[in-house]
Amino acid sequence: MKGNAANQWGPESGRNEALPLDADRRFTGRLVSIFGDNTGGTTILHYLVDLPGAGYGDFEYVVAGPVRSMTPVAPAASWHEREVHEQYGVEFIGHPHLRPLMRHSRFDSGLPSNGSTQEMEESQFLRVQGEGVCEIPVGPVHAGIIEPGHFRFSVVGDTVLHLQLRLFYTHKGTEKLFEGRVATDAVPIAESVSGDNCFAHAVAYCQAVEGVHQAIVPPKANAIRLIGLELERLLAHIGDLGALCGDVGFAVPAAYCARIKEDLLQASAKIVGTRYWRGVAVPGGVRHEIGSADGRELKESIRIAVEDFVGIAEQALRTPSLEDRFEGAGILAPNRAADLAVVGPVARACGIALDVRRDHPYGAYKNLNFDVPTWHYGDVMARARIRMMEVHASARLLLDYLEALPAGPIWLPLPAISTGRAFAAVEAPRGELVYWLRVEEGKIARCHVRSPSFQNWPALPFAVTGNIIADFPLINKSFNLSYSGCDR
Amino acid sequence: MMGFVINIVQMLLLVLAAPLLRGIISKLKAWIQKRQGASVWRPYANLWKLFHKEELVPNTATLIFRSAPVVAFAATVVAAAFLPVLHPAAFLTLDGDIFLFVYLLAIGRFAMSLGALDGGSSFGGMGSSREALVAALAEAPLFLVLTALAILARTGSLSEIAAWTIRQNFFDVSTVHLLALAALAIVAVAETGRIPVDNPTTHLELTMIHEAMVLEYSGPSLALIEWSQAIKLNLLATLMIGLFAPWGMSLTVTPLGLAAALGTYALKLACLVIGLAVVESSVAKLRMYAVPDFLRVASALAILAVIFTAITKR
Repeated sequence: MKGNAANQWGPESGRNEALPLDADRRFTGRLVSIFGDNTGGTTILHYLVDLPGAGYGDFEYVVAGPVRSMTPVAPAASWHEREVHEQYGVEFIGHPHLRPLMRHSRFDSGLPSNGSTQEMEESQFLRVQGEGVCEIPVGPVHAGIIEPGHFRFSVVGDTVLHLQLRLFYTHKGTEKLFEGRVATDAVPIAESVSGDNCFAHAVAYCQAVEGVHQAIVPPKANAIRLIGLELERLLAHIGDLGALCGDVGFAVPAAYCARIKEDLLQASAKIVGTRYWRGVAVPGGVRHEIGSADGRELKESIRIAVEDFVGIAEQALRTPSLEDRFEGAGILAPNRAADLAVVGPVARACGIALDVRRDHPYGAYKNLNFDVPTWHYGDVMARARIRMMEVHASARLLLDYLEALPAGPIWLPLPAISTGRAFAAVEAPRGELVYWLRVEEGKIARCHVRSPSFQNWPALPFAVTGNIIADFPLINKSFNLSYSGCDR
Repeated sequence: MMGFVINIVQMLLLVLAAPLLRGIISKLKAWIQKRQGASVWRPYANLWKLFHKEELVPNTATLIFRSAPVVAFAATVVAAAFLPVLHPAAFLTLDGDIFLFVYLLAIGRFAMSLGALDGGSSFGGMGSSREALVAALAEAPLFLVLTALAILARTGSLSEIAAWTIRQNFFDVSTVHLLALAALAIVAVAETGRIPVDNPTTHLELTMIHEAMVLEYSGPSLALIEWSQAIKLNLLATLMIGLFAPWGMSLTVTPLGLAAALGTYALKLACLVIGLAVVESSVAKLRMYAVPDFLRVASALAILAVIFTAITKR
């Protein structure tokens, strides 16, 4: 079977395992990530997949020559394979368009990436041709204060025929930055991957480190982490709904949501000393105690904020002029969503019940019975509605947990196991966030970050196609993906 | 002689008080949002700042780009000279100036559209084409509204129409006036680029109409554009007052009468501005392709207004 690697994933050496395919040779799991790792001169591909009923699986593949692309059976593999191709020079046979993902003409020198940065043709745009087709380049610098991203629209009149993304302007080589650091000290790097989800990143990273050390996190620390994670979700969703209203020129709910979000941030600052919970999570537990008096105060702030928010948001979503804008805009078909393995609220708005908190419970979520709300239609309204439902669910969780916080320590020292591999997944506000970690002698040898934004960005063009170009900002906001989290 | 001075004063009032009107609208909207909001004098500070800034001009731009804001400003100021404010007479008046008024506003738009195209950015072109669409659809109803009132008043001059309306009984409101007022309200929203047609405060390039056209402008040019946009809002508000509720205008040129006229004008303007702030705060912006439908309503109302002049007693 040597030299035949391009034709199948079949077990070739002892370490290669077959990925599950059904009788029609369709991939039966959900692709989470594909990434490379270099050990002792050999490149190993990791296929991280979510197998229905069997949990996460980490399939390894030792690279010897070209590898068969996974895109024909799982289109979601496209961006992952392009990234691996760029970082490790791995050739994927059967990939529809294997061109660099991160490196485009805006980068004139090598990237601080993993592995070898290959000299390659620069990323180019597909030309859409035909009568009346017009190309509109937008970005990377925008009129508002938002992150940089370039969008290339091909339009006929006002209707979008095709949209191409060029992201990775904020590529900071974060995965490379992790390497060589002491694993227990690298939380601040994880926190800086995506600023508004920093606590989810910190917790996911800490869980991966705890996985390596086979540590046990005390119940009180898990409870505080749950509070931080749910509060972050609350903040993100309240901010998102306000921003959605702001994007259609509906300033009153936008201003109210901004105020409610600020109230919650200030409550956080008062209780844990930091607005976005930065520096709270550490491997082994958390750094900040929440006493019962603090808990009650935070609970009261959350109760008032959620009450205010539900009042204004329900009223806004029932306003006919807003319904007219939200309904039917930016529909993402469920089969597209499934093909591209989208995660988080975007997936749940297409009826795909996917939630790490229920499917792969971690920390305090292990003791919970969890309903995953879903919605149909996959339009902007569905993505707004699903956020409303998640605000309700998170608020319930928070109020319950703040009522009766467990007693005990908030941090336990890590066992002295300092070599190993682990990965951890957390349901961040934008969806499934995965950290994969390999630690040698206490130092990080490889850290892979799969943010929900990286997974969801490729789905955005499919939701935009067929809409008018003036609706793009609204559709984009309803996805609300992080550029920094995607670019890393 | 006194009348001539008042005519100049009322024209200057329209031009100089325009930024204040904008400031008041922003303040009202901020209050509705339970924010404190910026000072009502903020638009003046903004104009002052822009007039003192360096002007950046795209390399591809020609004279058209630089002259467009000046043409637009001049056209708007001249249009202001035709409006009666404090008494039913204006600085410039001629029979048929309703046509001139409409096309002075159109000249401003035309100049800005050309300037935006000349700027060379794709947003400028997009903004121009959208502005042209809105302008083409808003022109007919505006024109028909003025025609309907001109038929009733049997005169083609804005001042004379106002003078005629004052002589009518306030309670004897005709169907023509109601229809025309509704049509003009819609047109005013579209002409001045307010919600739900356009969002003057958005930062989203792809949704912009008027703002997309001015993206390339900076410094004094931008100041002129912003100022003429503010004047335009003031013009259309004053036009509505002059055509539909001129009562309170001073028929004689006496200090007391003029003070009362100024007071009632301010009151009527305040009502319009509060109405605008409330409407802008309670609806979302229309989807771009729904804007023609919105203006179609204005056209239908305006056509009905013209038809109804035939059966209204004079």
